[in-house]
Amino acid sequence: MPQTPEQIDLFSQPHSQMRKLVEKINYALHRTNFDDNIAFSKLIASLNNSFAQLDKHERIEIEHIVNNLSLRLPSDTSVLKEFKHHTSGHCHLEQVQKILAKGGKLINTGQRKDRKLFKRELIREVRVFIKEYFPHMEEEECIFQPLLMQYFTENELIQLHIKIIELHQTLSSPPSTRKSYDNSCHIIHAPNEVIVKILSHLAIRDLLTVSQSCKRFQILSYTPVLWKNLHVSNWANRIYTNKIPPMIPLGKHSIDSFESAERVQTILTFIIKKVIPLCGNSIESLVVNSIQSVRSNMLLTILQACPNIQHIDFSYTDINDLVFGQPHLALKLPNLTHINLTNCHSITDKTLQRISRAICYPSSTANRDTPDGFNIYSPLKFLSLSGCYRLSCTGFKSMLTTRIFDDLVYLDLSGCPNVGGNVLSSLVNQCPNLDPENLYYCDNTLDGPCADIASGCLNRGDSNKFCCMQMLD
Amino acid sequence: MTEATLTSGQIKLESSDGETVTVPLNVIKLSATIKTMIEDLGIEEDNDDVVPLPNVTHVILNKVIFWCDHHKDDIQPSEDDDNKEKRVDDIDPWDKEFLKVDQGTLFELIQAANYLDIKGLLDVTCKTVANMIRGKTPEEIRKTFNIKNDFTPEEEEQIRKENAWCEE
Repeated sequence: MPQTPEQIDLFSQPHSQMRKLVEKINYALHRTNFDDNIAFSKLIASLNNSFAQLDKHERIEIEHIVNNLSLRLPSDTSVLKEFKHHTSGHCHLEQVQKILAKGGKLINTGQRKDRKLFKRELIREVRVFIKEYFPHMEEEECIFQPLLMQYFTENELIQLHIKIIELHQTLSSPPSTRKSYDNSCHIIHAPNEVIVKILSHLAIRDLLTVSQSCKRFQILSYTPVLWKNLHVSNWANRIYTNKIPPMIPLGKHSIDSFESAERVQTILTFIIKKVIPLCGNSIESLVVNSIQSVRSNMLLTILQACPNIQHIDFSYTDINDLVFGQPHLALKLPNLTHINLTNCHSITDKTLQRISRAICYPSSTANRDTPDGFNIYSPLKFLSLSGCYRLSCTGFKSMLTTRIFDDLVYLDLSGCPNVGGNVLSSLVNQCPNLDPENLYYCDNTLDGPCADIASGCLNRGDSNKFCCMQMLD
Repeated sequence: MTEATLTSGQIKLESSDGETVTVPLNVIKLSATIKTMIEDLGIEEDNDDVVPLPNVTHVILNKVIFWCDHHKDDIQPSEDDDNKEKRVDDIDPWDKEFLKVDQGTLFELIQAANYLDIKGLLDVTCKTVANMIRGKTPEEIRKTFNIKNDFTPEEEEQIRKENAWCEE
């Protein structure tokens, strides 16, 4: 095993403390005369204390290491099972403590014979305990430490190390503090996974309130699983539910007052500063729609930190091409399946090129499925570019060289009068799963695909969205 | 474990305070932990083996069994229910009545449900705690759960500022 630097090694130091303790226990156990009442009562007291320390040590490890680690590990990892095994596998410590409790009753009163029996039982149980405990510590050093180094940054490990060493220094303090710990069955003593479970039932407003109550809750409030959907528009409108965003954008509720623009910026700043540094990887949807003045560079900053995002809705905003990257800065969004850019008047063909590049697609000859059936890319399912009237054939031609339309089931290109019928036809030819009923495009397009069964333009008569007919009027 | 054992068999559980309780398997099968234990240990019907539960007192164990008995015929929710919209007010009236207990008991039930891996019980107990949090101020939350405020006034002010947009 490679040498681990001391300040990020969470196990070696506490374990050497525990090993010394076990040696001390073993020595005392074999040296004590069980018939001598004073020596016997001293032994019981010292063993009680030692095993309480071991118990505390295990609790510290579970609370501060194992629970934290299990939150980071992907839930399908096989190590996780061993984990559960690991955390519930310390019954023997309790077994010894139970026997020690029996020993307490023998002080002053115990018969010779009873003490002899007790000695035999205690030595046997301690032996079993030691036999299990040393491999248990080795397992932590050899399996857990590398995992920690994989899933935590060096800085986090240094912080954890300091905390753990600090907690171990108070191990041998009198058991009175331990007593109060046990008596209070308060929420604060529940394991992290349980608290996260409780927090998962809260909407953002209550979640943020909880984060203000104490440090532990503050840390747990930013557990990645709690931050999957960023509904900036809802939040800006003071709607704080966990609902899935509606598919149809709420153009009429657009936010354009100066006060609201400020508010949106505050929320985006909050996301950039507080949420994505810790939870970026778990973000699945970002809804910033119906907001007139949203800053494109802020959205780009967020998207850069959310590599697993699936659902983007920027409809009815004046975002520009910057949102999906720059020539020297390519975004990678391989899981993106839902893009709604309805009425984003300012975007041009560059946005289409950057989206195609961001969705990590294989070349047309590559196998979409690897042998174990795992999708190596995830093509678009929903695409709305309705009213993005600057888009032209050039942009769509760049998308045609990819295979990102394999799973497309909804395509709205209403109000894109510059996209020609022949390009549209090639596009639709690449969408084997697109029902013509879910295909919309400008009524003035000549030679468009499925002209008789496609659903035509959605924007006619809708004053909220661009339509070339209104231009003619 | 055969299907017949599951419907008719019984198992003995020993609580942390040494009480032994006999439970029908079709009731305790709601505990994934015990179900796995039985399957792994291959416990047969009428076996005298006792499964020790070092983290659950007999008072809580009896409550857990009572809950499982009421819910033994429920349709099991599918694995990936997580994406479902979270609704907190949808606690079944029977459960609501069942969970009218003091906070200590509620947390012990949560710990037991977590340890025994009883998804339904864990869900409903966590929802109950979430309901106790909803709509409160940070200070009220601290009072409710006896939490010590370990922020410095400066830190507290800083977080309050960052979250202010959500509090109006």
